[in-house]
Amino acid sequence: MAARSNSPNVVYGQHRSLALAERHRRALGPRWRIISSRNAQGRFSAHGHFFTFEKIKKKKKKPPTTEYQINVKYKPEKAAKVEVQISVRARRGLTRGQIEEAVQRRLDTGRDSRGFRSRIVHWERYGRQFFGTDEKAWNQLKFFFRNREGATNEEEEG
Amino acid sequence: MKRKRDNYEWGTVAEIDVRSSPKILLFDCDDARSCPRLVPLLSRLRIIGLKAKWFAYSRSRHGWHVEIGIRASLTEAETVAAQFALGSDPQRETMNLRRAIALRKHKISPFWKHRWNILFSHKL
Repeated sequence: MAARSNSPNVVYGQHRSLALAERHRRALGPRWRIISSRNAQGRFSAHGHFFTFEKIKKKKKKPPTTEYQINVKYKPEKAAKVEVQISVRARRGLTRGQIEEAVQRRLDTGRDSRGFRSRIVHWERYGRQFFGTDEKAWNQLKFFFRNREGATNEEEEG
Repeated sequence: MKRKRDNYEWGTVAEIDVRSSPKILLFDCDDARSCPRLVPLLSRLRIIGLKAKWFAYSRSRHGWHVEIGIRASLTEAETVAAQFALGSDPQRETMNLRRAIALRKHKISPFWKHRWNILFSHKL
């Protein structure tokens, strides 16, 4: 006797033995497994009277990621040039344009481009290194660029 | 190649292939149509007193990249010296030596410990 649950991926069964439950499992299809000896009401059978079958889900494969090293020179309108080296972890097979756009977008808007998930690993300027969590590192870099502009404007005003 | 967009001037963008490890020698051979022969590499390693566990060859844009796994664990300076002795690109090893000295002088961060001696898979 088999009872369907609300979920299409779970089936309850009542069998006299584990061998019969195994036969039920095979009948359901190749990608099913027995997850517990309980019925739909949650009643447990020490002898394996009630069985719950579950469909084995396919694991989603994560796209392989790699580390990109990028040298960027930031030139504010009225300030000296600043050179930074950024290491970004992102998915493989990106083009130069995609990386540039993604880094720039991330710095400007704080969001990743569509289909691109970046993770800043590290950035440095003249030996000063900045680490930390992803968001923290990006924000540090963003504020560094902003402050650079601000500092120069103040100097000019003074 | 440098491209300018707004305030940003983009320099080199490269994909890292292999990172540094005290048990791996990275050998970069430029201007080689045929791959570096194994016997001279093995004989030089024997003279140095190192035993290779494995070799990995990969084609680069201008030559070949060879990774050599060794049993011993070397310091940064020893790694540079061994790579130089094997005949790796002198320009690359000169820059590596500069980094090795800088690592000794200054405090080594965990980031640079794995990235002072790297091979890029390709430059974009």
